[in-house]
Amino acid sequence: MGFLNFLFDPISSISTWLSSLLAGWGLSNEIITPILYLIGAGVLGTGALLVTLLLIWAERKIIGRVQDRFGPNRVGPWGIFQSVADMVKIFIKEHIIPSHVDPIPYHLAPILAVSAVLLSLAVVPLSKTTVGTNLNVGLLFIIAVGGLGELAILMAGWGSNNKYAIIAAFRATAQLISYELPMVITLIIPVLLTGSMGMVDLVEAQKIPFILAAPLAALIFFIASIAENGRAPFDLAEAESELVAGFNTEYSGLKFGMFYVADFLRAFTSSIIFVSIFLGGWQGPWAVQIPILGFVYLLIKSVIVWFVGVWIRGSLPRFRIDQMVDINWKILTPVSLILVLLTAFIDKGLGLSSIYLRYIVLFLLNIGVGALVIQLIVKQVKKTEVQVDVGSRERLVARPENMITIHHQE
Amino acid sequence: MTSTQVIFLITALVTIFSAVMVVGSRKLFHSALWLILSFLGVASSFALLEASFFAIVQLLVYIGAIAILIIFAIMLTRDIMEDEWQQINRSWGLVLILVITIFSVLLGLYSTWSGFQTILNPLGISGQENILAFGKSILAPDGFALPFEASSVLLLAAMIGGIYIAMDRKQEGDEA
Repeated sequence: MGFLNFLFDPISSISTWLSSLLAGWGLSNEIITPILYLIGAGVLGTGALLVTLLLIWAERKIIGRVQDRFGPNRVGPWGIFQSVADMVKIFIKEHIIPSHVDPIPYHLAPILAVSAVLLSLAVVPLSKTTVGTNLNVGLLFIIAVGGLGELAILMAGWGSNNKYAIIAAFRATAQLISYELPMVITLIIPVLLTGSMGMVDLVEAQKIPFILAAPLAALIFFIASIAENGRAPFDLAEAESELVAGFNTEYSGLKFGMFYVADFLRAFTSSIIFVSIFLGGWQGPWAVQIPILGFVYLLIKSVIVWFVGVWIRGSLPRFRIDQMVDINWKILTPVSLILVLLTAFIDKGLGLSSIYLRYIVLFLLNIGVGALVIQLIVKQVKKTEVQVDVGSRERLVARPENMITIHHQE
Repeated sequence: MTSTQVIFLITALVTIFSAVMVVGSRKLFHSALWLILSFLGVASSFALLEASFFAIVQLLVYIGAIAILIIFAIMLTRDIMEDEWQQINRSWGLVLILVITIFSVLLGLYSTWSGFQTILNPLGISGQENILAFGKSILAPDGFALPFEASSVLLLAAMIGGIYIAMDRKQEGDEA
C-alpha cells in the first residue's frame, strides 16, 4: 500500500520523507520548513522553465500549421529539439551592451520579467495536496505580481538608452495597466461565488466550474488575459512587422532570451490561472482520492485553454492602438462593472440555497447581458458604417470595417 | 534575536535606506525605482505582521499603480531626466538645522508615548476570516464606515476634478 500511496501522491510523500530525514539529522522545524520551501520553489521554477522549451516548440509548430507552413522540422523528430538548439545558441551568444545604458535597470529588467511570471505559480494549487503557499489573498497576489512585469518593461525601456525602446515600453505598459482593470473587476465574481480570495478555497468551491455560472465574466477575463500577455491580436507593443522590435530592442543573447521565455511562459501560466479560477483547477473524477490525477487534469485543461490562445494568435489580425483602447474602455470595463453589480445583487437578493438553481440564474444573467452588449455593438456599427455608392467620386477610407471602429469620416 | 527580528531589521533598514535614496539620487527615474524598493520594504513589514491583505494591497496599489504612474509622469515630462540640476539651494543649512530640531523634538515627544509599551497580540483569526473581519469592520456603522465613505467621496472628487481638467472645452471657446 505504501508504494501505491507514493504513486497517488508523490509530491507530499517526498516532502514528508524529506522532512523526517532532515529531522533525523537533528535540524529544528524552523530550519526544515524554509529548506523544503526552497527545494519546492527550485523544482517548480526549473520545471516551468523546462516546460517552456516544449511550449515554444509546440507554439511555433501549431502557428506554422495554422498559417499553412511546416514550422520547425529539422532538429530531432518533428523538429522537437529546435528550442534546445535555440537555447544553446542564445547561451553562447555574445552579450552586447549598448553604450550609456543605465546599468541597474538594464540588467535587472529581464530577471524581473521572468520572476514576475514564475511568482504567480506560487499560489496556484497544483493538486489537492500540492500548493506552494495557501495565501488568503492569492487572487490579489497574482494580479499584484503581474504589476512587477509592467515594471520590468518600463525598466527595460528606460535602461536601454534608446528612444524607440522607451516609446515601446510606454505602449506596452499603457496596454497592460488598462487591461488590468476589467481583469480585476471580473475576478470579483468568482470571489463573490466562493466567499474567499484564496486560490485553494476557490478551486475547492468549484464542484461545478464557475464558467457555467459566469460565462461572460470568463470571456472578459480571457480576453483581458490575452491582452495582458501582449499576444496577438493585442501584440501591438512588439509588432514585429511595424515597429523597431519593442522595449527589448537593445537586448541580445541571454537577456533577450529571458524576455522571450517570459513571454511564452506567461501564456501558459495565465492559462493555468484561468483554469484554476473558472474551470475548476485540479477538480475532476477521483482527483480527491488520487491527487496526482488532479495535476494531470489541471495540465490537460491548461493545455486546452493555452491551445485556444495560440489558435487565436495564429488566426486574428492585430488591432490598431485606438481599437485596443476602445475595446477596453468602451466595452470590457463597463460590461464587467455592470456584470459584477448585477451578479452581486441577484445572487444576494435571491439568496438561492440550491446550487443548481443559483448556477442557472447566474448563467441566464450572463447570457442576457452578453446578448444585450452584442446588440448594442451591432447597432453602433450600423450607425457608423460609411455607405458609399459604387462608382462615386467619394472613396472609402482604407481601413478594415470592424465592429469596434466608430470614427466618423469627416 | 529570533529570525523574525533579523528579517524585520533587514527590511526596515532597506526601507529606510531606499527612502533616503528617493530624495538623494540625482536621476528622477532612479528615485522612482528606489521608491518602489521602499514600498516593497513596507509590504514585507506588513507581511511580517501577518497582515497579508495589506502587504498585497501595498504591492498592488502602490507599486502596480502609483509607482508606475509616477514613472509615466517622469518619463513624459520634458527635460526632467537630466541630472545637471542642482539638488540643493542656498538655504540648505538653515533647513537642515530646522529639520533636525523638529525631528528631535518629535522623537522626544513620541518616545514618551505610552503606545510604544503596548504588547502586540496575535490576531487569533487566520485565513479568510481575517479578511472578512477587516471588511466588516470597514463597513460597519460602529466601525470605520464614516472615514471609509469620506475617503471614497474624496477620491470621487479627485476623479471629477481630473475629468474636468482633461475635458475638451472646444465648444466653450467657440461661443466666446
